[in-house]
Amino acid sequence: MTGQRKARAIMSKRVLVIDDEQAAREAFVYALDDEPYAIETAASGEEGLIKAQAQRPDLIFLDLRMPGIDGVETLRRLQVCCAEVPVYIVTGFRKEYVSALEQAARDGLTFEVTDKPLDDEQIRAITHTVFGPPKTFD
Amino acid sequence: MHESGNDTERPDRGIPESELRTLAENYPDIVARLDRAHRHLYINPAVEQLTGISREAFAGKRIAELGFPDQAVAIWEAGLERVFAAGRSEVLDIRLSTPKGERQIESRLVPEFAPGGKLETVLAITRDVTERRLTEQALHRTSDILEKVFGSINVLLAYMDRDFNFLKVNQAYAEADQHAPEFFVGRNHFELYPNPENESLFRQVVETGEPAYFFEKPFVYAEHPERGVTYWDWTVQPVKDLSGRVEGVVLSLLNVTDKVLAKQRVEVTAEELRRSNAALQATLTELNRTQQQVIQSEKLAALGTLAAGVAHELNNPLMGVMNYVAFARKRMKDPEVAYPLERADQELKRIRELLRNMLTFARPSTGAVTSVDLATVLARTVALVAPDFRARQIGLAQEIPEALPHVLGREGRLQQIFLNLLLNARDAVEASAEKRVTLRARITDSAVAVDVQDTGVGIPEAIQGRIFDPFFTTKPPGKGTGLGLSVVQSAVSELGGTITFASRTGVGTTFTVWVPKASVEA
Repeated sequence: MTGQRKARAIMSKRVLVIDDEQAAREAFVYALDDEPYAIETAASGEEGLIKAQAQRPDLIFLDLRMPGIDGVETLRRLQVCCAEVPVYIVTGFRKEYVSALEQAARDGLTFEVTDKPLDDEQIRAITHTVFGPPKTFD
Repeated sequence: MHESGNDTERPDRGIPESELRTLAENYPDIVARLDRAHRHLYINPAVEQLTGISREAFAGKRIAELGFPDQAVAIWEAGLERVFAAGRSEVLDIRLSTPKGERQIESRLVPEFAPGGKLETVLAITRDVTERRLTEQALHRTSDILEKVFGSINVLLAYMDRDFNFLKVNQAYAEADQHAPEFFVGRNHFELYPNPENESLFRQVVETGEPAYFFEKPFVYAEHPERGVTYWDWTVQPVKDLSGRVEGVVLSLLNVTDKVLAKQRVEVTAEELRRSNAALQATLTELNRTQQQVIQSEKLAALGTLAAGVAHELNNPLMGVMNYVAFARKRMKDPEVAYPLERADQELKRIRELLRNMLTFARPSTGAVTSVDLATVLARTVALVAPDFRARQIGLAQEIPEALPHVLGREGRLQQIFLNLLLNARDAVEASAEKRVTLRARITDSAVAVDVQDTGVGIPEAIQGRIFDPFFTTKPPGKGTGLGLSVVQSAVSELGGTITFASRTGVGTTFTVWVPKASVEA
């Protein structure tokens, strides 16, 4: 397990974006286009869980308000498979989810919350915070 | 009615017999001479007027032979008997039927003594007194009624002579000053109650013969000040003799104290009514104002909900577009396309700000209200705007007292309030010759007042009522969203504070925010 992760880390970091909005998903794709990360996207919580289990991302951007299971439920289920993966919740509805998020925090879940809309610099700043500044190999 | 007369020394002795006859012939009373047999020896023409019987018919006849009613005849005959017997004159009252109707007559029987003292004849002088009796009766009745009214009425009455000496007062008058009516008689009104003003008014009544009336005249009993002020309706009526000369005056006084006091109470009540009516009116106005505020806040709430919904939904597409544009800018080397993309990027960031403000405006923040160090908040806010102010050559003065008390609020909200006000002030002074903004804090009993004062253009009076309306702006298109002041106002009221402003066109505007102190003692 540890060996596998190390191997992937050497190749490139994996970022999973779970958001039902195409514009939001593609915002991450374009913002991180020049960065040495592999970007995966999922259009629902359910799809996100499958991809998280299969691909073991190093960072997850998670929307809250989605059809199907919402972001908070997705967060709880991610805890089962991928507890160690840092999760950044990116939402336009922080206030509507305050109590659910507070409850999640009390239940021992760890996550960061940031508000939509994020511009490219903010997206890159978050990834750099998690992964450290990108190294240039050339 | 009977009078005694032993007439041995009669003063008419000196009048010649012929003159006496002329007198008798022309006398308006009936004059008759009767002998001891009650026969008429003489009767004058006046008898014809009363009885309709010619004087000739009387000659030598006794009274009983003339057809007078029996009762009248009996009275006359008995009278004559007594006068012949006693030699003293007598007056008889007789009711008599005549052609002129029932008459009351009075017969005076006078004994006539012949020289030597012998009583042979009686002179009967008879007068019709019907009218006189009626007048006497009427007079008596009038006087009786007057006496009873005078005595029993609760109006104070006093009859005085021309010099205002009391001649008579009624019981009510006497009792009012706790005396008997007799006490007043002979005393002078103005010696008893000196009052030059009243005396002159009374004198005027005497001199002009015109009555005087005074209504609700206040009066204080000099000897009984404990009775307080009493009120009286006065009349002073002149009493005149037949020639019209004023003989005296009747003073009447009616105590109207109760009426006056009642009237005063009514006035007081009316005044109270007026006052409470005014208070009610003020309440109504206040209520209307409150209603307007409620309507306004409901309008704002509805608008807020709408705005929040729109803002939320816009966040996702905005995030996408922002990043699409950012990517395109990075890749696009063509300078012709680079410029519009750069502008697109700037405008998108403005959209983001607008949406952020709309969300702030729409929803009260949920963080807890805590004790906040206002001095720190103000310092941070000033630090945020200072570079911009410097660049625009706007003077930014601070008048913040040391040891500013903590206030109740949320740090972020407070900073947002002052930031908005400072940026508004910045825009307001842009066109002014003197560009100065002053941030001032004042400590009051329960709050800290923060003034943001500018030397800007001022707010025209016509729009002062609308400046807190959302989307109301005077800034040119692209300069303001019109949400700034409505956001500020909702943030201030959310913290339990108030915001006011004073503005003069061409002089400047001062916004004042009152934020409650964290602790009143602090």
